[in-house]
Amino acid sequence: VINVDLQTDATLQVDISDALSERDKVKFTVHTKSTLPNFKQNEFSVVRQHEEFIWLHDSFVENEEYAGYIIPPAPPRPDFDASREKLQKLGEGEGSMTKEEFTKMKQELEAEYLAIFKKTVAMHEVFLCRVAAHPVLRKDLNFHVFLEYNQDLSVRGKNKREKMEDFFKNVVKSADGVLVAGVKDVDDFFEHEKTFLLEYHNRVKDASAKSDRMIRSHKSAADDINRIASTLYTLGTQDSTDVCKYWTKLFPLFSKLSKIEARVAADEDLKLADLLKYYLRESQAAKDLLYRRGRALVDYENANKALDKARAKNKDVLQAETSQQVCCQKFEKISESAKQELIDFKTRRVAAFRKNLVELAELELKHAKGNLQLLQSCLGVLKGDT
Amino acid sequence: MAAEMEPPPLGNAGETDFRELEDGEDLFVSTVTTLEYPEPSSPEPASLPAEDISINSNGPKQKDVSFDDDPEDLFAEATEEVSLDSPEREPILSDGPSPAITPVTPTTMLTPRMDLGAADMFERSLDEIEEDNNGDTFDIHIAVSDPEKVGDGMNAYMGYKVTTKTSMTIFNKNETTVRRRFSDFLGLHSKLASKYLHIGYIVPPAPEKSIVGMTKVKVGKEDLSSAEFVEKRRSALERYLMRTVKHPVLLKDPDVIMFLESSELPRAVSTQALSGAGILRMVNKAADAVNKMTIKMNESDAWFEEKHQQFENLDLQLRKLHASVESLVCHRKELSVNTASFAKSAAMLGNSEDHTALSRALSQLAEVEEKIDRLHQDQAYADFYLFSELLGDYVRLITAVKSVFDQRMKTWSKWQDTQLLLQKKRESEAKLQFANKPDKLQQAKDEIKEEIEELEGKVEQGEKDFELISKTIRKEVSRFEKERVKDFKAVIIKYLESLVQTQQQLIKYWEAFLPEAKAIA
Repeated sequence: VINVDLQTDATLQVDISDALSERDKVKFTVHTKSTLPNFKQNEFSVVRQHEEFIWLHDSFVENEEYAGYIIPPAPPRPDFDASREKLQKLGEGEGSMTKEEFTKMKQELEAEYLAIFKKTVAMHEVFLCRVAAHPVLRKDLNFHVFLEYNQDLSVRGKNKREKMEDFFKNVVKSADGVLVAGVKDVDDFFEHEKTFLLEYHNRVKDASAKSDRMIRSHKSAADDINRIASTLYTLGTQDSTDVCKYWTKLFPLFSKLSKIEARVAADEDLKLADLLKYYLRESQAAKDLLYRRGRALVDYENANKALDKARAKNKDVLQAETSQQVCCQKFEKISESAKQELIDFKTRRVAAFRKNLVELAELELKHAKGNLQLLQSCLGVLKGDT
Repeated sequence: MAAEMEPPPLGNAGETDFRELEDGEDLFVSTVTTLEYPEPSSPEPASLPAEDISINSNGPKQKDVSFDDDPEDLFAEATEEVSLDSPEREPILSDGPSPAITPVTPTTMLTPRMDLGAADMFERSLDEIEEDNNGDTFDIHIAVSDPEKVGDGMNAYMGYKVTTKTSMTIFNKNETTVRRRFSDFLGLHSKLASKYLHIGYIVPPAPEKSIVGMTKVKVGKEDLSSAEFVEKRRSALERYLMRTVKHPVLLKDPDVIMFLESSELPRAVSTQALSGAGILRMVNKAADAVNKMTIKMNESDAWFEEKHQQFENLDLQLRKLHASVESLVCHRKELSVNTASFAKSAAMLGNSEDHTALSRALSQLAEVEEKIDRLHQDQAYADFYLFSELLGDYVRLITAVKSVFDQRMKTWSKWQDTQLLLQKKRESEAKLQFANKPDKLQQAKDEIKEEIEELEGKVEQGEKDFELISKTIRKEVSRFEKERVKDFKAVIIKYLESLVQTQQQLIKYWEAFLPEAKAIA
């Protein structure tokens, strides 16, 4: 779990109590417990798919009212392609390996599939929890519909045209982003945040990629140790000479060592890689907030200029005044909530890193100690043996 | 093995110093000590608490470590406390040759340790050589060091210093240093193979040529990979020499002694890959392979049948194991590089983090990861120089063993062919009896009689040869198997110790980091 302290509010608790993986989709059972009057019951569940989460997220992003908030990042699409491909390849290669090897590899791949599955569930859950914990977003109507409406929301995935529109919107946004970012802010706080977030986001991106690569090598090494163990097993069963008894002693050691190494890699993935990936998305969401505020500031300044012009020409002054007021209000509203949002972001970030780094260190220690004990035990046997 | 000298029974323990042996280097005749890689210090054996051995059943007692999936723990038997000074240790310490043992007074009776199965009727002079050692215990240590490039361009080569330290009387001096080049080693092997292979001795194979590797060195590429290549070769040459001299018969071969002692050695030109001799070798190898397929031997000896199969299986599995270990070395190196890269990235992230305590913790994390990347690198070296190279050596050795079995087949084949020839001659002789050419008859009869006599002698010799090679192979195989266990065990122990060290370091690093992480407020 990436976030902390999100379950303390009894008025609205959301979790994913179950999940089912079908052909190419995952069905999440979203379970809600609430004392709020808005809901018909106090406890209920619905089934949702990934697209519906995305729909909910996008509805937040497109809602002008929420311009001043960090929108919790959408969960990534469940991706079992790689795992499924591996399982398929295994099935094809069944004839070329021994029964033990096949069963072993199948178990491993199934474990891998399960791990990916658990992760995607966790990420979808975190999204919902963040929304439920947010003082304003938790009241959103779409959110309530998402939680309660027990029919399919019929939110088809975006069609081609809509995807194209999105693409262009993003292009414009990034060009705009550069424009807006260039405007120096009068407010020190936001100026600092802008500088900070731009750099931080890039660094998190880099760290995330590098940690992924590191963990992949670790997994490969664990696989090699596993293969070594298998061959040791075969050597041990070939005949009953003294040498073979020797191999037989080594097999369990290497087998266990490989399991530990795999677990180290998995834990690093969970505590480090996932953490970095999550904050990559969150820092992007924070940047988006700054962008929206910047946009509002530019609009406000333009409205000011327009008002001055109108007053100078004494034409459409009322219209310009109204327009300027609207922009002013919008800007101030965003600024106010944005400040709090960014402060909260920092608090959450620090807490999450602390939790995960502590847990990472504890797990690394546990595994190293486990390895050490196995090795020393085996060494004792080998050295004391004739 | 007849030639392995047994140190005096431990009644005379006072004379022999076992201290050095307890450092875990006892059996693998210390080639490892001269390796340049950062050698993990072997843990003090005395400090290995006896409890380690008695932690048994299904793994560690901590609840959170769940290794329950293993149906039966083969360490369950390790409940017996074996203190390192107890008498049970003796068999290891006194087992076979060990350089640390000081030479024994020659008057001690030297009895062969192994029961050889075959009747110990030593007919050939080679057997006598094995027995007669002038009372020398096996005490020799060879180091290959100081690789130095000689010459320039494509004619350049790498020269190595070969230092032999010994107290054995077959050598002229206690310590000799000579310079040799790679082709000298190949030349030595070539000579030994031609002398001993066909009578059934397992001649340790020389390290492999590498055109790519050597070319890099020749053209003066001074990068990490050529340095690694040179070190790999140096280490391999050292192991090769030690294995060769460990063989009681080869040790006394004049070519070996000359190799180790003689300051000048005639250049072994025929070892060049593309030389005439080299090509001839390749042709012969191919011919052999074809012959092997066509010789159908009636194996009357089940032992050979069984052993042959065993070695085939072993060959297959060792190659697989070797491949896996090579892969591990590769991935470990990769892991080291990627960890270093991540460390830098984490440091950058820490720099840009504006919460002070978190920033500091991230920098600490970066430092930890940097240390860990070096750890992985060291471990990869150990993976390679201990485990991988050992396996590579044994894959090549097994090839030598298999070729010895092939030689036996050839010997049998030769004997059978001679027998066939004799039979034919006898038939011819019988035919002659009924021939109608009286004038030429007596001459022909005499000729054939001569030929038959000669062939009879050859057949007898052929049978003797076959019996001898069979006997030799039996001895060689059991010596080989014994050596193999010792070899592997010693190296595996060293390898596991390197793994232990890595884990201990990891624990140190993470224990230092944990409070830093907790301090984030």
